[in-house]
Order: sequence, then C-alpha cells, then structure tokens
Amino acid sequence: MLLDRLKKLYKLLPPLLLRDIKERYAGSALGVFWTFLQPLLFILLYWLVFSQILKVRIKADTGEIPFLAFLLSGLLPWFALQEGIIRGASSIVDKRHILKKVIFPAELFPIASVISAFIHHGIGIIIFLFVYFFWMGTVSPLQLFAIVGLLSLQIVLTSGLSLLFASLSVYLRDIIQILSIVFQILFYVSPILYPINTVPEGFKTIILLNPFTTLTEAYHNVILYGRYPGLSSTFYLFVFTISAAYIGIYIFRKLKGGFADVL
Amino acid sequence: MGDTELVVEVLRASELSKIYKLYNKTTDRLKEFFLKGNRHTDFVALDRVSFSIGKGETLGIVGENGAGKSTLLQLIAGTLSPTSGGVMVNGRVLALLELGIGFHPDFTGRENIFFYGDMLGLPRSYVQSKFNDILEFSELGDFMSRPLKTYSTGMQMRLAFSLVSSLEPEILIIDEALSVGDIYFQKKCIDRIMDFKNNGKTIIFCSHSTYHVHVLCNKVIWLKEGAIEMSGEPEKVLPAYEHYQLQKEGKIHEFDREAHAPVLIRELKLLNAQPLKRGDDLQLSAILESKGEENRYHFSISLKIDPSWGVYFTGTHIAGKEPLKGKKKRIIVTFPKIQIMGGYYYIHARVLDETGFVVLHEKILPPFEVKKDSLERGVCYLENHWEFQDL
Repeated sequence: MLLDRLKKLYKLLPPLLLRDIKERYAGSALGVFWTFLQPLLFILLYWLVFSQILKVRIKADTGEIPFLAFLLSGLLPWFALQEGIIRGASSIVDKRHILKKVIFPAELFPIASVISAFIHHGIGIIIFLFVYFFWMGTVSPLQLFAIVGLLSLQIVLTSGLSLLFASLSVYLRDIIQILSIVFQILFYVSPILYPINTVPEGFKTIILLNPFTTLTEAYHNVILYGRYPGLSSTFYLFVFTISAAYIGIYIFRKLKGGFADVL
Repeated sequence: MGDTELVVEVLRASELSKIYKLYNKTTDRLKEFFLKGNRHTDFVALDRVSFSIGKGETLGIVGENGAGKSTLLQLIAGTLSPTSGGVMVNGRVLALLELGIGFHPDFTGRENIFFYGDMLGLPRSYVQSKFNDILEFSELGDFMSRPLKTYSTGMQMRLAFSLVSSLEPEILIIDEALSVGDIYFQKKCIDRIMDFKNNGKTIIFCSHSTYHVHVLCNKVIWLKEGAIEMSGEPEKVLPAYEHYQLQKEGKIHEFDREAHAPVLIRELKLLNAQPLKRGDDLQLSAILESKGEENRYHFSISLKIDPSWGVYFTGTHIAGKEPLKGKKKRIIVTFPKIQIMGGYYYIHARVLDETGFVVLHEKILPPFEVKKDSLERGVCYLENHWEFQDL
C-alpha cells in the first residue's frame, strides 16, 4: 500500500519537476537569463561590499582563504535552501487551480519546488566546487562524500520545512510574506557573509541559535578546511533535519484533507 | 430497463455529506485546529446523499445554484473529501468541473495535454496515441502550439472537453461545461456524449438546461438545499423541477441565452381568454426571430400540467415538417377542441436546431387554467359510453 503510493509519487515527480523548471522560464524571453543573473549580481555585490570595502579576511590554519571561496561555499547552498522553502511554501496556494480539479498528491508540489531549486542552484554549486578544487589542486573522496551527505540532508530539511509552510499557508496566506522577511533576517544572522569567529561573544549566542548556522558552518568546514563537522553539530543537524521532516509531513497530512475546502 | 437485466454498478455514493466550516477570519481556522474550542459555524452543502449508477447509465443532476451540485460532483471526482459517507467508484473517473481541468496559462495546449496525462499517471505513449484525436475534435489547429492564455473561454472548454473525453474514462463527469461553447461545438459534444453512452460508458451530467438532461440522461437527481428532493426517471423529475422553478419565479421564466441564441422566441402568448373550458380551441402564437437568413430551425411545444407531468409534446421536427427558416416568423398553433380536464397547465416552447437536438432558445408561459366543469377527474377527457345489460 505504502510502497504503491511511493511508486506513484516517484512516477509523478519527474513530469512535475520538468513542468516546474519550464514554468520558471516560461512567459519571458529573458527568463533563463534572469534566474542566473540575479544570484550572480548578489554574489558580485556581497564580494564588493564585504571583501573590497569592509575588507573581511578569512584566516585558516593553512593561511588565508579567499573571501569569494568563503562566500560561495555558504551562499550557494543557502540560495537553494531559501528558494526551496519560499517557493515550496507558496506552491500549494499557487497550484490551487490544479488541486481543485484533478486528484493529485498535493505533497508533490512543495517537493518539486524544493528539488527544482536544488537543480537550479546545484549547477552553481557544482561549477563552484569544480573550480575551487581545481584551483586548490587537492580534494579527498571523503570530502566529496561529506558534501553529498550535507546536500542530501539539506534536501530533506528543506522538503520538511516547505511541506510545513505550504500546508500552513493554505490557511494563512500571510505566511508566505512573513517567510521572506524571516529568511532575510536568518540570512544575516548566519555566518555566510562573515566568519563566525569575528562575531563578538555577546552576539554569538544569537548566531548559534540560528539552526542554519550549524549547516553553513558544516559547509565551510568540509569545503574550505577539509574538516568534518563535530559530533555534536552533526547530531544537532540530524535532529533538526529529522524533526523538520517529521513535523512537516505530520502537519501536512493533517491539514491536507481540508485544502480543497479552503483553496 | 427490465428488472431481470443485470446492471453492473460502477458508482455508489452512500450517505454522502459535506459540511463546510465557515469562519469569520481565516486565522480562526488555524486557531481551532491547534487550540481547542469552536470558532466556526457549519454550512451543510450536502446532506446524506445516496445513489448508485450502473454501467452505461447517464445520470443527470439538476438543481438551483447553491443546491450542492458542484460539491457533489467534486466529491465524486475525488477533489473534495466528504465530511461523512463515502463514494465507491469502479474505474477511471475524469471530470470536467466548472470549465477547465487545471490548465496552466503559460503552457501551450499540447504541453497542457501531456501534463494532464502525467498527472493522471497515464503513459506518455498512450496520451500521444490520443493526441491526434484531441487535436481533430477540438479543432484548435495551430492554437495547439500557443499558450493557453491566448485562448478564448470557448477554446479552453473545447480543449478540456476533447481531452477528457478522448482519454476513455469509465465515468465522465461534466459540469455545466456545455453552456460555454458555441452551438456548433455544443452539438459536437452532445454527439460525443451519445457515442459514449452507446459504448456503455457512464456519464454524470450537470446542466441548467433541462432539455439536455432530458435528451441525454436516463436517471435524474434533483438536488435542493443539499439533499435529494426527487430522483428517478427524467419524465418524472424534470417536470417537477421545472414546475418548482416556475413557481419560484412566479412569472415567465426565461433562460439567459438571448444574447447568444441564433434564433429567439421573441414573443409567446396564449390567444385564448382565460379560463378555458374543455372543448375550446387552444391557440398559441409565437414570433420567432432569426439572426441570419440561413438559419434553419425547428419549433416545439410541450403542454405540461401543473403540478408535474408532461401532457403532450410535439414539434415541427416530430410532425415531419421541413426545418423553418426566415428572419422573422409568426407561428400560430391550434389545438382544436382540447380534451383536457380542469386544472392548471403551462406551455413550454423551444426553438431547436435543424437536427432537433440542440436547444437554441426556450420560453415557458405561466400556467393557465382550464375550468373544472364536472365531477370527472384526470388529465384527459376520454370519450365514454356506458351500456347496462341485465343478466
């Protein structure tokens, strides 16, 4: 029964994903261009402000790490995360014209949004990793393994959160607006634009309270320093991911039956 | 259908209810969900509706706006979940609900067709094999490769109907869709629905046009305020429903088709002084107006008794007359020496297309009275002779 259902979901996902990707580029001729230009512009802007104007320096045991490498190793996964959650959160409301007329497993919409955001930003991540490791001249298989592991964890985390917010936003549309503000804040209290060791002690707790800090730090450690996240932060990441996924699925399933009544 | 004939049941609704919770604020809904307490008022959209449909049957659903028709269809299609009760379905159900089946405006007709198939979990090769049929039936031509947002409402409906009906569902649900297309396409749809019916498929059909329901359906459910008011053969349910509507509106009931109809009943009146007596010549005058010289059409009259049954129905197509034509026409129909008994009757007149299938326009006259002049009872007067023999 469950296996049949999963099989069906698996079969339905690829066409939905394809459509989501197409949808993103449909409607405007500049579509494809824009979606890549926008993150590039932000990267350029952050690099200009933080590296060239504020002169943020990243120290490591092995010497100084270029700011751009530091920035991209945290920012690119963040793009995928933020976009996945925000697009996922509005996916049910956006697809109401379909859900009201065809029987369709609604959970696929947030999941497709998450995966399509990953594919989109994954291109950037792959290019970055390729160039970075090529430039470094060294990469260990364990490092790659850890990166894949972190990305997989992030997909599960993002899916859970977007299922949660997608189902809540059906009942409370404001959530979509609130989320984009919240993620703006979370972005600045994550050590993406600055290294965590430069944060004054008093503020450090705030930064550490942000669950995405641990994730960002894990990316930094693995990609830049070739270190593996400590036991406590790995444990924390797993607990956070699994609870997000569990709560997301639980709330989604509970609220799902009422979607058609409210949409 | 004889009692001995075995009908395979394809759909059974049992005690189907849908209660919507109405909230003053959307946040109340969430509050109630997470906290305890009652913050809503119930609205019963559907109240314990039960029925079953056999293979090859066509079920019509009639009722006023807000009677629960759409809710019922959505429950059958599975896009809404019932508050209590359930629907058992045997086979694939495809629904054409309130115009459209979830098309995306930025995608082309072709892309939308394949995506719809994907959503139903149909193999691409199957949808591909039906594609030419859809293209041909919808007559969309080059529009197939243009985005849906460039389509008119009629074109979207054409695509939706062609798609849904080409994918060979076991049960086809059609909600009001026919009222949108032009008359030509309406006829095509009806022909296809007829084919469907003849191929043993099951159809659930919901329409404001009682004529379509009459022509197509062999079973009708009349929904009123969420419950079944009456169900059974169209001959029984439809006149009762029409009569109910008539009474409700109190006077001439007219369908809002004037703007689109190629031929209109401009005027319909009874020439007799009221009340009539049995044996009078019942005379009726109608003025028909055609928008084009080339339109060919039929005119039909149905005499119905208050309160329910059809007494007599005839039309130019039934009487074997050639289709009518001409821009403006007066028709006078005389029923000499009517042999109907005292009571209230009303006239329902329709203009049909040349095949006699599609209603172009219709008008219903308010009831007129035939004076009761004896103690005899019934609808028709039958000549009677009595003989008494002592044995």
